[in-house]
Amino acid sequence: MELLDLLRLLRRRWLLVATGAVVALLVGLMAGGALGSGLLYGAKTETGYAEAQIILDTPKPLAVDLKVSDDTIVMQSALLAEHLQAPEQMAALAREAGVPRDGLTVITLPYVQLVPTELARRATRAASEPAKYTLTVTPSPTVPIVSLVATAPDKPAAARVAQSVLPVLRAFVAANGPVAVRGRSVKPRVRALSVKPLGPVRATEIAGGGPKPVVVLVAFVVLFALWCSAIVISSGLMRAWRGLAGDVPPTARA
Amino acid sequence: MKPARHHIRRRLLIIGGCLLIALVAATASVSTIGLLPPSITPRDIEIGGAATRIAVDRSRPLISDSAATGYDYETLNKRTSLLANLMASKPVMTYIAREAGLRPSDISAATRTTRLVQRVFLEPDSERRADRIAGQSKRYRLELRPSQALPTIEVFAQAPSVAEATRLADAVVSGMRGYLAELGREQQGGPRKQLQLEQLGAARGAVVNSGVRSQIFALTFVLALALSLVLAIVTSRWILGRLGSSTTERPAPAPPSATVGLARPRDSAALSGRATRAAGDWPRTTRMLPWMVAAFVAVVWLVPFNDIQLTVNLPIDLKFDRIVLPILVATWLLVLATGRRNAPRSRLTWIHVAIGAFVTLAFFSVVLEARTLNQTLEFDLAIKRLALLAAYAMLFLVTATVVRRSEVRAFMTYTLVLAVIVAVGMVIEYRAAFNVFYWLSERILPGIFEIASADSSGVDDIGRRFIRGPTQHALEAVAVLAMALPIALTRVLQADRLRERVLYGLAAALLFAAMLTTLRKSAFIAPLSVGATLAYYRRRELIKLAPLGVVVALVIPVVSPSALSQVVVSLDRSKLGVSTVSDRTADYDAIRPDVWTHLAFGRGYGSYEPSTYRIIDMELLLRLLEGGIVGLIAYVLMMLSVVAVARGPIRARRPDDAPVALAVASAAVCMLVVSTLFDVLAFPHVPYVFFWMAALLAVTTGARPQSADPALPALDVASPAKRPAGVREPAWSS
Repeated sequence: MELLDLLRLLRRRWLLVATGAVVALLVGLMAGGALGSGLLYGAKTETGYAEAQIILDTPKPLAVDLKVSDDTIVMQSALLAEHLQAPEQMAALAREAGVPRDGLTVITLPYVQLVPTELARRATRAASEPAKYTLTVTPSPTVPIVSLVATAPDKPAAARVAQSVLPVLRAFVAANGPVAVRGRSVKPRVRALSVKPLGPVRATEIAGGGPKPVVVLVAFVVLFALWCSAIVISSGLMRAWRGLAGDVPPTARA
Repeated sequence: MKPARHHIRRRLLIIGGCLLIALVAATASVSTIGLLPPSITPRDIEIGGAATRIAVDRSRPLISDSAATGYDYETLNKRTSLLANLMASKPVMTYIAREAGLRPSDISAATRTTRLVQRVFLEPDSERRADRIAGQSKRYRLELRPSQALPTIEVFAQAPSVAEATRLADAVVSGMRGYLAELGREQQGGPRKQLQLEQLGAARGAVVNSGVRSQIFALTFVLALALSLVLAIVTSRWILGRLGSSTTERPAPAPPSATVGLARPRDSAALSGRATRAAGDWPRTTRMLPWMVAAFVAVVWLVPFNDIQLTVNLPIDLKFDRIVLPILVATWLLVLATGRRNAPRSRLTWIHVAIGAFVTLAFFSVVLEARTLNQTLEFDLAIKRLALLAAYAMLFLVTATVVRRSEVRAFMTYTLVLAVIVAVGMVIEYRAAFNVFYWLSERILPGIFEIASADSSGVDDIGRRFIRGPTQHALEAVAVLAMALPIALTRVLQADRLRERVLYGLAAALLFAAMLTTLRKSAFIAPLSVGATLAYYRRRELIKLAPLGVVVALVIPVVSPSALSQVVVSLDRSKLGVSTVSDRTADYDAIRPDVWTHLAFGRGYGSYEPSTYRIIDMELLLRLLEGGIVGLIAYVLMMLSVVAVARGPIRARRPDDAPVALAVASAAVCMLVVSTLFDVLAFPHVPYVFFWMAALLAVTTGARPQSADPALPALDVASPAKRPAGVREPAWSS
């Protein structure tokens, strides 16, 4: 019943409603990228995306030798992932991938998620802003495998960024490997961990932007509803104001 | 027309004045206003945040050594924790401050322990909290978090600008290295014996409170405008009333065109009667709004809405209720604006005043502490909670204006039916470890909604199962069912026919059995408060409830076997030393520093995040913390206002409104009691149900021109008899 009242009111102001429909449609088309440069979704873009995994292993592979201790290797793989953010490693990554150092960001996701405080949450988000070339590193909490996701303006660049991790980590492990200790028989090279790829780098291109019919529809419906609401509310307020004009207290009449 | 123009000019003047006051207040909240010479200088509100990580290793690195053992890393992790704690200490802070170009006293630093210890040990006691409050006003903050499993430390810095924040974060490593080098020199230890710190990348940062300036401005503007308008309306009405009473002249009746919209000259009962004939009462009505209200109440009772979220990436959390309620409110506003005969109408009651006062104080407490909350980055949190509080208040307002007095009984029956459905679902959950509400939500709702899972077979740390129905917590389920229990009990008291008594008796037994399935002590205490309220008002009729005791005794062992015995055992004196009890008592001392720091109006509604500080298991304490003494009184008065308004009808024993008043008064007492048991406002099902029932009482009592209770006179504005003739009131208060 109230709906009928609303519709009657809108029918009386059909010209305003029609104008609103046209405006809402135009804005909706623009918001969805179907008209002009697009308010929310612009022209079609393509982003290069590459995935890879690397495994940290003991000199004798963990998968075949049950006697090898795996006490700390998961922690070590997580630490290695963290070290990819260090300035030297980032410079080496940029060099290997052939991308500018300033345009590369490495984001290492935490090994153990903690309940963040407000400052921690916001500062982490601030420090994780993606750049033109972004490498996201995710250490596994259970196995010594590190997942890599690289994004870049094109597919080959993304693949290069993902591929650059392996040589950089190998160099880091070699540089920070166990040093020879006098009086011990174990050779440093035998004790050093090894970094191996777990399959090839998979690269692809992801299309973004372009016209979004759902956005056009949603924007149109929302804007048109708001417009109609504004008509109803403004006429209610005007009527109320006119009512108040006739509402004169006794003293005012005196 | 002259007097009318004068009248319009006066109103314009009032509105203009209120807008000016609001504008000045809002400007002063974000700027410093100077008078001589006149100036407006923006306050320094922006905050920069930065983060970096530090890795700790031996001088002979373990990181690439396959011979490293768990013991090696355990030792290293402990040293890392030690270093993180040292970084926040005064000696190291001197080094860090020097590196950052600051004074040590400018920086507040804290290390958050993340080692594997029980959460309760990490919650700050009163001494630690007092220390943190003392450092809260400092504009440079450092937070250090050693990792739980790795020898790494996360460093978070806050400063008035991004550059300063990154400089402060970067200064931590160099400062700590300086301190360690100095210590090494004193101990004459070689560098090979020392731990090595490596910063994993330069600190990166950004502005972490963007948009807060406009939020503070808008919040202050809205509050100041609302308060000044209310003050102006009340004052002008009082003046007009005084002047009106001194004259005998009655004005001519208003023209018919002026009776629509926001004005209504005639008695509500007469108009309501015509509208009733035209549109019928719910559920036999074609009016859209009562159906929408009923649909929303069904969502409140049956849908685990707080665990359902839209997966669209938006700056605010769009829980299910916060998607549905705006549709209801928008429709309500539009229908209100049409001003037709079916437009929402209500009469102002003391419940409106109490709820309005509580909500206003909540907003006021946040505005008052806005700058401190901005500094602690808790302003956004308060805004989110204020939005939720506004949602509760909107449900009250919409219900109180949409529902007719003649519909209240039907809506109470509807509430009882929904509660019984919840009870049946909880009994199924108890017996089959299957939550039907979550399961149905997953099946029915489309994929754009993310629904959390409910583990019905899990147990808490003292072995009680997680039975929660559509709510998030067992206590929440107990509270909502306990608030519906008096509907069934009053119906048993009122029923003349045996069939009705049996049916309502079974409903009450089922509700009680469902509460017991949660195995909480509150499942005894909450219904007890309901029973005590009923007993207070209906002592002589209590005998009618005696057969119900037999029904309960028969039903409970069948419906929820062993639940009763487990709850009774948990109430034993020897079992009261469990953590759920001791944690609550520990809260009293721990919150003292916060309470004394903001004694009158609190630290701001919704600004206390339990996961950051400590879990406060008592709403009254939380109100004291966030709203101060004034906020706590307003909260308690909100419940007491319901009881006070209900007293008249209860004592008058009219068959049409006494049962409603008795049921809602019992629900209000229950709400007050459960407010001492857990943080009820953090679990939205409970406040929604309370505000819904309070609105039904407001409809019942508001439709009568005067309070029947001589002890509680009706508000002047509610009584047309006391209002100056010809002075009309807005529809929402008519």
